[in-house]
Amino acid sequence: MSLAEGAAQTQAAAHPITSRHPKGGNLVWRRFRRHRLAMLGLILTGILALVTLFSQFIAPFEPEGYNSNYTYAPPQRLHWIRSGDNGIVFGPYVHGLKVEIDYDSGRRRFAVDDTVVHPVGLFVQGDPYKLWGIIPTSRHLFGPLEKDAPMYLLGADRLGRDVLSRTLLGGRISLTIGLLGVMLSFVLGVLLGGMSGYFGGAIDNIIQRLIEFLQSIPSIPLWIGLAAALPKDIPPAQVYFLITLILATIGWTGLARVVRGRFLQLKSEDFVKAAKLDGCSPLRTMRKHMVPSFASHIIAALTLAIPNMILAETALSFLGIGLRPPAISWGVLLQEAQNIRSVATAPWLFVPGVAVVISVLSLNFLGDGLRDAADPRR
Amino acid sequence: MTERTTPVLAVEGLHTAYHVDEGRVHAVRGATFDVQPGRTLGIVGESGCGKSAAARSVLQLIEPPGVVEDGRVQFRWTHDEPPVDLLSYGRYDAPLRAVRGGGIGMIFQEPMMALSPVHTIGQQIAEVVQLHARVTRKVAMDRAATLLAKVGMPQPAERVHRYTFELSGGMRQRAMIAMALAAEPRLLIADEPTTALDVTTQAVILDLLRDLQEQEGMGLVLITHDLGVIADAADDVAVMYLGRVVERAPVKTLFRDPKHPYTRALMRSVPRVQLGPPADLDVIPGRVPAGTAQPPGCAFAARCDLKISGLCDVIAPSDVVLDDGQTVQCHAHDPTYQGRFKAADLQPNLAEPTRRVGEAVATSDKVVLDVRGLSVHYPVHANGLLRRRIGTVKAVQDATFTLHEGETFGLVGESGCGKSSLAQALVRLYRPHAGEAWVAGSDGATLNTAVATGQELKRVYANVRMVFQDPYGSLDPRMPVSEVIGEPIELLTPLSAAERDARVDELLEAVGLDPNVRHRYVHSFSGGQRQRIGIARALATEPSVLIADEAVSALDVSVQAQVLNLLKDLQTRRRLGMLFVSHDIGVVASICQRVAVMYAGRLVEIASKDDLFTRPRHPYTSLLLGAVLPPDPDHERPSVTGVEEGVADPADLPKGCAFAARCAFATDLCRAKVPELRLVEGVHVACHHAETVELPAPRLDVTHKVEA
Amino acid sequence: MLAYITRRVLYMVPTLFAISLVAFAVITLPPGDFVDTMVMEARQNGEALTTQEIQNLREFYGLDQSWWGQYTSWIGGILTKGDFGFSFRWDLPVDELIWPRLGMTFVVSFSSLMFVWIVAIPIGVYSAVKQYTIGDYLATVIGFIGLAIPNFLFALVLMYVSFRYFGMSVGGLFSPEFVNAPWSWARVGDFLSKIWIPMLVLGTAGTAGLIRVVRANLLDELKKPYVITARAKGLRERTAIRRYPLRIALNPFVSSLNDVFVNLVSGATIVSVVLSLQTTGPLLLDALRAEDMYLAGSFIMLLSVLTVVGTLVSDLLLAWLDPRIRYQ
Repeated sequence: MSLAEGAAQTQAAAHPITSRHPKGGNLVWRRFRRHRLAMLGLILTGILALVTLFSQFIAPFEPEGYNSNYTYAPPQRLHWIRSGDNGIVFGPYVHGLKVEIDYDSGRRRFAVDDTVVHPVGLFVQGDPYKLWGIIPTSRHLFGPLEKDAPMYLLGADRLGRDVLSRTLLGGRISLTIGLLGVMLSFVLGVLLGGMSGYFGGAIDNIIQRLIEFLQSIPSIPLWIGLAAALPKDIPPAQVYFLITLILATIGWTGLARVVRGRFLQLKSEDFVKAAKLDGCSPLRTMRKHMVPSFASHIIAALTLAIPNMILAETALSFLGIGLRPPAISWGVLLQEAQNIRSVATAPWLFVPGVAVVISVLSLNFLGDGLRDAADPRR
Repeated sequence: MTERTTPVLAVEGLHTAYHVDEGRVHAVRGATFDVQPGRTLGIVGESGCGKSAAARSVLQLIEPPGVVEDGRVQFRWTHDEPPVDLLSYGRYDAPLRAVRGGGIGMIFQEPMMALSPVHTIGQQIAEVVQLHARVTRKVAMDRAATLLAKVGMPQPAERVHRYTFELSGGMRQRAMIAMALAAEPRLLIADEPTTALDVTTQAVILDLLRDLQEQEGMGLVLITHDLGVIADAADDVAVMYLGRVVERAPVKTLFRDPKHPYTRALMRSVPRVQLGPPADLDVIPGRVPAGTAQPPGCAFAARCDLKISGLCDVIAPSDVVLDDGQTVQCHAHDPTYQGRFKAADLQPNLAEPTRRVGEAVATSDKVVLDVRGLSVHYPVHANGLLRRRIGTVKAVQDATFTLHEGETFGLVGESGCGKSSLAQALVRLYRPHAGEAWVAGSDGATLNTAVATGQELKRVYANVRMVFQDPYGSLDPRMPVSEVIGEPIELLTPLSAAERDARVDELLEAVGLDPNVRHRYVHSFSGGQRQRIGIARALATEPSVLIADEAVSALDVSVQAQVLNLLKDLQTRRRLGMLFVSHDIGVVASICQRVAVMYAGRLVEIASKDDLFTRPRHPYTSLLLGAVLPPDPDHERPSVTGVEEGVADPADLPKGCAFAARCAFATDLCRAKVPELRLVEGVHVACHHAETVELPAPRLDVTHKVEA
Repeated sequence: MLAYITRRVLYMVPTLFAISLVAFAVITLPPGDFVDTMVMEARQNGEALTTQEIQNLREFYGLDQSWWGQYTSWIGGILTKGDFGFSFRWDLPVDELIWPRLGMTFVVSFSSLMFVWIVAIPIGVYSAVKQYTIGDYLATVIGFIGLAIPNFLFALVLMYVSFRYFGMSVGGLFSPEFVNAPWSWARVGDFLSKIWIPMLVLGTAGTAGLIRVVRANLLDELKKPYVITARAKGLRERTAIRRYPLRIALNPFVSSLNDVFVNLVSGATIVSVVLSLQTTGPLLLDALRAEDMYLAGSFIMLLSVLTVVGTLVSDLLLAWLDPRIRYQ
């Protein structure tokens, strides 16, 4: 006997008759939970999603709110304890900033002004905004209690805009473009990959050649080419959608391959043959027997495709041929960092880049864990 | 065995365990055995008994998470030298590496997997030569060719430069053997060396191993699950159960007088060629426990009919050495406890007619399946851009036969002969290329399976049902049992939901499962239980024809007997016509009334079981039956020659009889014209010379012992 | 084998044809053309062009022809004379601009490929053989991080670090004094002192990806029965792994080699903009923005050709390595 057989037997016998038997999905989940990095990825992704969903509320300031007094203001530290008039006071606050002239270089420089205290509060009134474009409000999760007090926890950019707020809000476009692009690729990939795998023959052949062809073109030059073709005067919403479309037209090929491979593999499985003999129509066979057994693979492949989309959007916007200001995405924000001199003065301009790395990393951890859990290599 | 020579290998108290997620799988639990030079030790047991793990532990070829935990493995380089304990070395130590390949050669089950696909067989053999002797590459390659010649490889000088995928299964195994022999080891360990091979090739490889052993005076350890192989090839036998060697004895003693209850039960449950009406097999209740199980007493106690509670399930038995050199781990043979067992139970009951002979042949004249000239062809496409059709595999050609109500009709043949294609065409997994297949439905209608479409095809699906080979792959693991069995009822019959539930319960009971399992998911069942669910699903629409495609081939012997009995019982009671497709002639002979033999896509002989086994008419039938290994050490098997040459390729068939290239009686007529299936003395046979050739009877029938 | 090569080469023809169509389609996609760009620039300089002048310009550049006419004359020129057309913006034949840049792209991509190989294979092998050890986890995590950092961001950070802490500018492939100098040993030395930055930047993501490929492949192969056979022969563990599973695990690696190369070429486009390398990237971007169609089209096409040829090379390499492909 082979070891695998033995292991399979062991596994089958390990469940006593009385135990509750989870559905296939739960099996995947159980295997997934053992994967520590993947769990971390899941938690981080969850946090990112929540933060992005409520970014307007969490961000202390309007992204466009500028203040020429605080151009390239450095990050301020959040303090917790101060001695007030009546002894020690607990509560978050930041010190004020004052401008000094560095006489050696002749440059302007910010210094912390210990004497000034700007208290910071929760659920403060701040810049008005419309939550999700519907609910008008001016509450923010946290912010300076005094209006117009500086609070640049992650510094300010060349117009004195709050980098933290801008990064938080940039996630809305950067993350959703990944999600939306993947969904578009998913539709194309599942449709074409499924057709390729299910029908086989000439259809399979044509789709396979198309995929090979698309994969043989270096994607970034093609993306650049297509993105450059976008008219320069169309509204940002349209640019957003078209960029997504461009990413998806090229991104579906990998997914289609995964879907086709799984389809072909499943088609030769005995239980799929048995379904046919049990009177299942092709559609029912796919819906009831094939899709459930590769849904977890597809989800894993989709999760792994999102980071690529995010990276692509960031790159295009960074080059100035994707989204353009006033749209805010991480790639757009990173344009500020293009000039080495501005970065040298204000290294906090890299913050949106950190956001990109964290989200790509957590999605990769998540997708990798999902893939491992979905494919136990019996 | 009173006078013992110095063993070449002596294994004592070997313990090997795998630490997996489910816990510690104690694969080998104190196994003890030894091998004499020039003799063959057969290690036999069902899957999961630890026989492969034991053999691999000898050379510490156990990979993490496996660990050889304890024991002694004494190996002697020469007769006069003191033995060395191989377990005293580290896994990568040079002295152990010298023994690997140099002192002990290994042969594995699946040569296609066990040999490298990207090196020529010559390179792989020469590597061993060079590892254990200081010779040049050139000398080593010459030696590889010589070795290939020695193991009977045709055209060795040319084949030395071939890759595994360019060779047939038998040739690959020859190459593997040549590699194991390359450094002239003192001992050969062969792990299921013939399991992946066809029965005729198996016979050739076993003959080769025996010849080589005689020439070289090597010791041989032959690991197998097949009692027939043991009876044919072993001198001494070790029977393993759940990691322990429960019985050791010379082969004839073991088969004549098995002592351990497990050995006895195992031997009784092997399907044998048996004339007369099909009879039930003896079964071992239950199944081999999981590797993680740690029974405190005897591992077999839970399944043993001699078990004494409070003794067998508490105290683990140790080796009891009996007078005739037999060693057994059983309290019933231990003088200390023997008194507590009934004396009658200790007698071997092999000769007792325990078999319940089935009801007298219940075959009626009513034909339920009438197959006329059925052909199944598959196109072969090129891999290129246009995938143009470059050929045709003629998987089944011109198959004609009938199946009667209440009859079990066997279809035997070697791999690639087209038997599965025929089965799959009959259930309409594939559309046949030509011919007709008329089914008399249980509702009285007659349908032509071969051309049915739409609603008619649904009725075909309802009336012709299939039991698949693989109990793991053939059931959707994501479905509860009630849906697995209920789906065909829902889609193929007019029954209401309530009636459907009632039928599912009834079917579960019929296949010996508790109806309460209906909500459980398939993946929580064992192989045997899954196969029962598969049978219930096949019967769900009350079909008139059941097609069992290698339905018991994936199961262990003890479970196989249970499922075979169930199939036989259901078939008789429900008066089904059953087409039983199998490569295992013993199984076919134990369950079928009539048998068809298939070769290269054609039915070459159709006869009643008794006729076929007493007087085969087709030379291929004779060859096939001659290669069968009954579990009987006294059986004399005719030596089989030249089987690998000219095995017909269904994609490139010769003009005349496909068997002509391998046939001793072939004439120009055979090579020019395909023989028709015709009636010769009451037997259908496709041979031009059926009337004249004299074929030896295989004398496989061992039931005379039972009848005595 | 010869038949196999011939077949593979013949398959390239339709692919290349399709690529040329796509490349051309992409560059003619934007509304307007180069003359519009000229008109706009002229207007910014306070000049105005008459309709007749614009018409003349269009005729001069051949922009008055139909799409198909423009395509055929472009592709015809390439096929018959190796003439890739004319760059409106640079007032130069495209090939004069394109070959040195393409050569640099190839050099940068290829040296990154070498870097990826040299780093990724040993780490991948170590990771697989020592699965679930600290080293394996470390390699995995570093690999993931490498994958998550966008190339251009990494380039920016490197530039920032060397500017801030070492006070040097690391952009470009040559120091200013060598940019237009003829090749000399000094220039080669200067080049070598600069190339490691793009090599490192481009190679990181590729290395991370490849470590995972090598590790996964080797883990699969290590479970195969022939590994036990190799050990049962008496081979040393290292030799057994190198000669069998590793040798076989490198086959899928070779076939994915081209993907790695394509990604490098792709990635180089953006990185070279950031690092202002004299490769195709900046020029392509510029040409696309200015609708300098023949230049942009030729770039996209030749980059694609580079990868198609790369696929061919890796397929042939695979066939050479793997007899299963060679003989079937």
